[in-house]
Amino acid sequence: MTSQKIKKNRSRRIVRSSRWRRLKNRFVSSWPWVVISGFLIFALFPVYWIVLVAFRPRGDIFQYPAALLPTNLTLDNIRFVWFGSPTNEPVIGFLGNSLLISVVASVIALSFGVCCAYALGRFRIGGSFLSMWILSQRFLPPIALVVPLFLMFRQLGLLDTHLGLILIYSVFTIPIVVWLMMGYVQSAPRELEEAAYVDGAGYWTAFVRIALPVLKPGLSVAAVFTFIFIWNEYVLAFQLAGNKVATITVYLPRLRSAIAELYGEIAAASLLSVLPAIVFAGVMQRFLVRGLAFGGLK
Amino acid sequence: MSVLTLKNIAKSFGATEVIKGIDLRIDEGEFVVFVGPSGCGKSTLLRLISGLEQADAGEIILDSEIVNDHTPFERGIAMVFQSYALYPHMTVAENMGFPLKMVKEKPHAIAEKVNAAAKTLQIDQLLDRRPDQLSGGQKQRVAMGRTIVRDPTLFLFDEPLSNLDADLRIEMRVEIEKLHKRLKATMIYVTHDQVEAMTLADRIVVLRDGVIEQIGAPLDLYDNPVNKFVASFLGSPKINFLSARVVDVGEGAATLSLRNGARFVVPMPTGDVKKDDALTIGVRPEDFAISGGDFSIPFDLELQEQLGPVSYLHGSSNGEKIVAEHRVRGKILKETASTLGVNSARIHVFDTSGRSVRHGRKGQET
Amino acid sequence: MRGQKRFAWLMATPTIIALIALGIVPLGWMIWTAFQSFPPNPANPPQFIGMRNFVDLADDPQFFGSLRTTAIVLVFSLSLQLVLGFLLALALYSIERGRGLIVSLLLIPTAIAPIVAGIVWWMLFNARFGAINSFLVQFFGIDPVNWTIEMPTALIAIIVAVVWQWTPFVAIILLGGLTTIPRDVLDAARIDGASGWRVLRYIIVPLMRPFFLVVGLLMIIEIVRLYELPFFITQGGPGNETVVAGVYLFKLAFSFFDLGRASMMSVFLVIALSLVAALYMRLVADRRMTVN
Ligand SMILES: Nc1ncnc2c1ncn2[C@@H]1O[C@H](COP(=O)(O)OP(=O)(O)OP(=O)(O)O)[C@@H](O)[C@H]1O
Ligand SMILES: [Mg+2]
Repeated sequence: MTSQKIKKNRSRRIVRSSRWRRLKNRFVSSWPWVVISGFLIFALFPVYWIVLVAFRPRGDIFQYPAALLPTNLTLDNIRFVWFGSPTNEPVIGFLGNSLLISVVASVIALSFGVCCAYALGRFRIGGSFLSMWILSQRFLPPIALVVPLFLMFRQLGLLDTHLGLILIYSVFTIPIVVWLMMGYVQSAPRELEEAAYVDGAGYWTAFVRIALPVLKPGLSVAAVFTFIFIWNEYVLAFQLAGNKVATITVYLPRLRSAIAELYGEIAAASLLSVLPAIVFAGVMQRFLVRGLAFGGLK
Repeated sequence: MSVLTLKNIAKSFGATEVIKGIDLRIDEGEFVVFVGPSGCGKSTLLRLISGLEQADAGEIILDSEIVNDHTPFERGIAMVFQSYALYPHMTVAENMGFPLKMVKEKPHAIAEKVNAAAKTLQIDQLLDRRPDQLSGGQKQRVAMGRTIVRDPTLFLFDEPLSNLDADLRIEMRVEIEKLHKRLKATMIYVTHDQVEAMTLADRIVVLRDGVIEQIGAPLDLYDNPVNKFVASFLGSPKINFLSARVVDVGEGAATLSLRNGARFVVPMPTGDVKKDDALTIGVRPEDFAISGGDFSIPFDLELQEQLGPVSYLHGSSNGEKIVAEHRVRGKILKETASTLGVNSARIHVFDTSGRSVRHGRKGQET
Repeated sequence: MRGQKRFAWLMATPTIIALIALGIVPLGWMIWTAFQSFPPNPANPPQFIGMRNFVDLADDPQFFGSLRTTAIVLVFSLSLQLVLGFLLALALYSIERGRGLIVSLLLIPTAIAPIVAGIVWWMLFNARFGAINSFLVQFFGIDPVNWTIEMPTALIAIIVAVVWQWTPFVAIILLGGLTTIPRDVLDAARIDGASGWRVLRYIIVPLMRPFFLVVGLLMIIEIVRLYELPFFITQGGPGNETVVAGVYLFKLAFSFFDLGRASMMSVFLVIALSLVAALYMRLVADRRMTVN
């Protein structure tokens, strides 16, 4: 009988003192912190290394073996990157390009995307086919389309222009916006808009005045995602532009192909380029835990 | 089947003390119901007994063994959750067989026990379904089935019926009662539902803010509540409270007067009562009568709720709210019910701190 | 009701047009160029050559080499990401305090640009000035390893970088999955006699299956498109040992200017990714897969 088994179990266990058990429990219950600490070190050590090298004088950088702890500190690398030096251009123009392109393309993607998500999520046009088709676009990475886009842009004269990059980035991020916003649209109460219709508002007014304010938190999440995506993109930025119009991601490898490998400068520029990402990681965190995996279609 | 003893159990979550020193002994085969307002610590107490939470202080003793440090399983306890907590990815049969699989029973033995349990609970035709293909009542039966297959020493139920509709509730309540009779197992049951508490319990434990207010058989609690809290917690509609004053203290009885000046003599212990003390009397709705009783209070009828055999008269007396039960069919006129008679033998008396100084049915029994 | 549909279509039209113009048109273009030969001088028009690009690609050992490398990276990174990510998710799940801050910090690698991730690991793995060799030399007295210019360490370096960049993301998605498992169900399992790891095996892992699948598919797509990390860490070396599919595609198109063959390879990648995407869509659309 089961209960006999359990009882036998119980009396066998009593031999172990409860102090031993408490110790064991304490030990066992600390394992998450061991895992988390390990991962934090793994995740953050490279970031620490960038910061370290960015503020390290050239002489110290090329020492062997590399010092793992901070040694002398200098602002030279940052200064060279910011103001330019004989071996490299100033970073500011590249940051400016990245910022301009990221902001404009994000705004376009958000405007298109939220309208589309609203149409799909509220009125279910096009059945599941349309939404599936739009969402499936998210799975085509830039690299898969870079060749035809290059040919197309060459024909259209869009290579190496702000406009070209803005267009292509908007289109690549619209599906992300639709995907993120559809979840928000579907979970927002439709009664609010229906009340507005009853009060005589048109569809557009109800969308702008009632629905959009409710969707604001979702929009800010989507804005963060699109901004980061565009800011971080390298393949298209390099291949469809990268000479006259060059973004920060294109700037970084250039430092490497310069005469000497500009370690300190690369680190300094990398540091500048990851700042927005680090700021936004906090914002992304909240959304991701709520279950991004099933986002749009839930 | 086993005896459960709790000795001075305490539990805090962070800075909030949720269970504040509970002593309780539950005998073999007893059915004990925990009741109390939301957030008073019923679930926490149950989880402490089950071993899902660790007590900060005190001893939990099963039979004669301290089990504070034992895992839930080692305690040999089964539990039915309010949400049923069925494993979504397992069939009904797998759900019910899971505890047996965990003690490495042979598959055919598991199948046998599961089938037997399924038969008694009338779910043998559902064994291959998954939980999301079951109705609420069916899920409930599966959850119970999962507990009985393993033949536990102690059953814990945390508001098991609260997600069911009224009819199913009654059906399952009877089912649980039968189960208890058949298994003669010790059971602890948490509920918000008065009827469940009154009908199922051998003893009811009334909790408030992590302490036990009173323990007793259902009718005993109903008739002899130790304080205003217990009095108002049991009984539906609630007991009525009226403020009163002591006019005269005699030998084993006191004369009280109500706001309207009505005077009456109640037999009660008079040791702690002085003249001019402010007291509260409690009168259960069924202890009012339109005519009769040995004193009466004015009544301003506002609403009559007719439920068939009885109706409830809502109104007030000198500004104090009153609900009275009326056992005659038909609409009653406001004028007819302008006074309510009370049998002084049946009233409860509470002192200013809410403690009971006189229980309602004492006089009747003697 | 009519007006409602019209309004909805008006709202969706800009997106649909944009996606057709810059999503579908390039796809069509790509299929067309996959059957053309591009003369070195862009002024001369391309020529239709039928299946020649396909035949060439099918005969191209470097193409298959790049697929093989991608497959190796995929197998190792994906297993590590899922195992470590799940371990991390469980750890995050079982702590009560500080989760938000920890998750924000852990997500930094995922939020960093891949090109920067490449740079960072290139620096860390540098044989002379990198932190990893410095660590090995100072604490273990091991001779410096030529990480990025020898095999198999070059591949290991890439896999480490991929794992570094995406494991936190995997962990957070899985954490989201864990939080969908009702606490009562876990409690019930403990009451029913499942010890810690048996709760994991019999309850948590089966219930997490859809989340593993979804995050696994997302990671497959990430790894198939891999470009920046190998580009920066090893530049494909030693030899062509670490040339993954993305790097080879770039080489074909922009080093060899064999745009026709590159398009053919793109077609291949798009078809492969579409299959993965279709699987994902099936999964997400299948409501029974989600834990209720
Ligand atoms: N894990 C926990 N962490 C912090 N506080 C808790 C936890 N569990 C319960 N509490 C608090 O302990 C108190 C008692 O909770 P408990 O669930 O035992 O109440 P209850 O009597 O079962 O209430 P209900 O009738 O609503 O189920 C509540 O104030 C609750 O907020
Ligand atoms: Mg509760």
